[in-house]
Amino acid sequence: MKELHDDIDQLFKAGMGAGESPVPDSAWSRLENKLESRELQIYKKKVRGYRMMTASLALLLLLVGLYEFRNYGTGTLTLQPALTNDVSKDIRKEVQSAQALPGEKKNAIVNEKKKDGKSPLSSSFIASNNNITSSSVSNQTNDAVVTNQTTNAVVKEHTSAPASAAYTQIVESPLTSGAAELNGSETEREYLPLISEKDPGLLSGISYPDEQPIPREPFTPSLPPSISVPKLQRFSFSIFFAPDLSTRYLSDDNDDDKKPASATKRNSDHKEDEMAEFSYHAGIKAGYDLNKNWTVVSGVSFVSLLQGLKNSTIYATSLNHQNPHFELSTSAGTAILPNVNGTPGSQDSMNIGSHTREELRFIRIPLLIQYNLYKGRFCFYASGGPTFSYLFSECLDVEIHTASGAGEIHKITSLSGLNDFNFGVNAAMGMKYGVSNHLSLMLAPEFNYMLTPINNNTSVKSYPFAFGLGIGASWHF
Amino acid sequence: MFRGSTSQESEMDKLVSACTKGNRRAQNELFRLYSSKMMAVCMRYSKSREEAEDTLVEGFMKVFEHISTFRKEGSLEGWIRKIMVNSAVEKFRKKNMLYAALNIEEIPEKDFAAQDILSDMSANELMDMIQALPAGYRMVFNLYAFEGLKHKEIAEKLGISEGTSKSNLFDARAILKREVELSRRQAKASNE
Repeated sequence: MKELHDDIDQLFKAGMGAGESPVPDSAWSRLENKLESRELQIYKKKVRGYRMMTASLALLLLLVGLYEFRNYGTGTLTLQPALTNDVSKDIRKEVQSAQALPGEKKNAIVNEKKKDGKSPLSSSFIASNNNITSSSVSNQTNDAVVTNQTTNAVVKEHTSAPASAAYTQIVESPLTSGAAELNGSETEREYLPLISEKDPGLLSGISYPDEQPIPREPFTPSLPPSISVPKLQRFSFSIFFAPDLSTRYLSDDNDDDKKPASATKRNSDHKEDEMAEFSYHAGIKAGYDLNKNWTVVSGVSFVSLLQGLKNSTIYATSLNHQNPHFELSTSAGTAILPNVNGTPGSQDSMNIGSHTREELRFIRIPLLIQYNLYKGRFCFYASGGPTFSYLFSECLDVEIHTASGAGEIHKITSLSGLNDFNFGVNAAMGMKYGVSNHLSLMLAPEFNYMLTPINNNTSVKSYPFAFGLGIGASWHF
Repeated sequence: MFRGSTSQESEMDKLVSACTKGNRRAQNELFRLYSSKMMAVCMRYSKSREEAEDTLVEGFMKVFEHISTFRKEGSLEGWIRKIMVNSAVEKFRKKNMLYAALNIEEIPEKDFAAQDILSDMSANELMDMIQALPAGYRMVFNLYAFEGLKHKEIAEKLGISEGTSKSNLFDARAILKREVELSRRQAKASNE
């Protein structure tokens, strides 16, 4: 019996083993078209990737550049804007009311105001400098030290109480070879002449009994770019965007009883047919510093996982349905395609074009613990923790070739076999750059992996994972 | 002879290298060199010439996509042939064919003598017989008889059980045997 079988095998092997068969001329042109289409696809994918990376870097550079330009652009003190905007109105009112009084009374009122320390002028001097942060002039601050890098002058401001309290300014300057203590009235004397120059009519009628010329040249404060005032900031709020390179880990589902009869594709088939595409996730995060090193972070993000499908030919099936139809099986699930060319026969085929895309959209809630490796102007950290994802939408854009050969895109919004909830992990190594006491920019390469499969009762179990580059901004308070 | 062979290998290396870089002219040259032989392979695995052409095009797409992984340890033809066979198998699996239960008529064993009839049958006739087989039988017979795979390997490749592979091969041989015998009888009748 075996010999007989071997005879049959040998007969066919010998009769047609090394034969040749003519190839139709159309074969090469078809192959060439497919090669061009594939090359175009790869090129587009590369361009998309480069664009996203360039856009991310450009955005980051723009943010840093904007801040640096703002911060280091000018360091000179400009008094006029503050005076002309709001404080000058108060002074004008006071002056006008003083002008209505006889000369001695005018001086008495002015001196009284000086003693009370109600000097809007000197307050405005401090506040008018754009380089001083609000915290440095806050009335709650007990002791702020300002160093002038140009003249090495040191200005100390003591404010122990809200605005109504008296304050003293001490100016030390190498140009004046010593220190001078200025109270409110002296500060006014310093700057009132400037006001007179700006608006001669403003201060007419005001005179000081012990008026003495104060050398103006030594005191030209040009304040430093930043003042660090230590303050406990435990909370942070971040917005971020992360382009991801997303793909899937696939494993064969060997539980044949649960699979539909049509599910014959294995993970190797899906790997062959599917291509990773750039996806993204974006959202908000809130952090709370437990101590100097540890921070807990949570938030919510929108996740879009995108993948492309290659050209393929699918065949009509009548399984699970009475009439023959076309099903497109991906590693996520199965979609029933519309019968574009009429009701198919049992052996009919349909060509799927390379513009086919599958997108899964999730809402993800991470619960992360962050360890701060170094905390300064630059902060380096590592974070990780579980994530919970809810699939709220799926979409399959299928390019179907019609009988005429033209490709039509059909949107299918339902894939069978997907799970609603998934559990995963997130890990990241990040860097933050503090542009001010409150604001910092962040850059964090991160990795997301779903521990539970996104699908069930399908030929393969699919575990998406993504490498992303998160960029964003944090506000600390 | 040695020098000629070396020169041929070098030419082939250059061709492979150019194909790796995506040189269209080199790809066309490679296609021209092997397409006829590979078409014959595809024909054996297909029901029709059109289906074989599809398999050939898909197979060569894979050849050009993965040619950078060709290690030059074996022959290029063997490597391409393997890809063609895999493409045909993949196509078969995507089709999701069900194995049709056929009634196979018993052919008396004494009537069959392969050596006697070999000269009477052309390659085209044999090809027609293979193409007329149900898809599953055709796959199993091709993989067993032409590629030399074991039933375990066939079962893995096609996603079927080893028992199914054996029974399909048995049925395929029975059908082919019957067809060959019928063909021989017809030939005898026409000679008489």
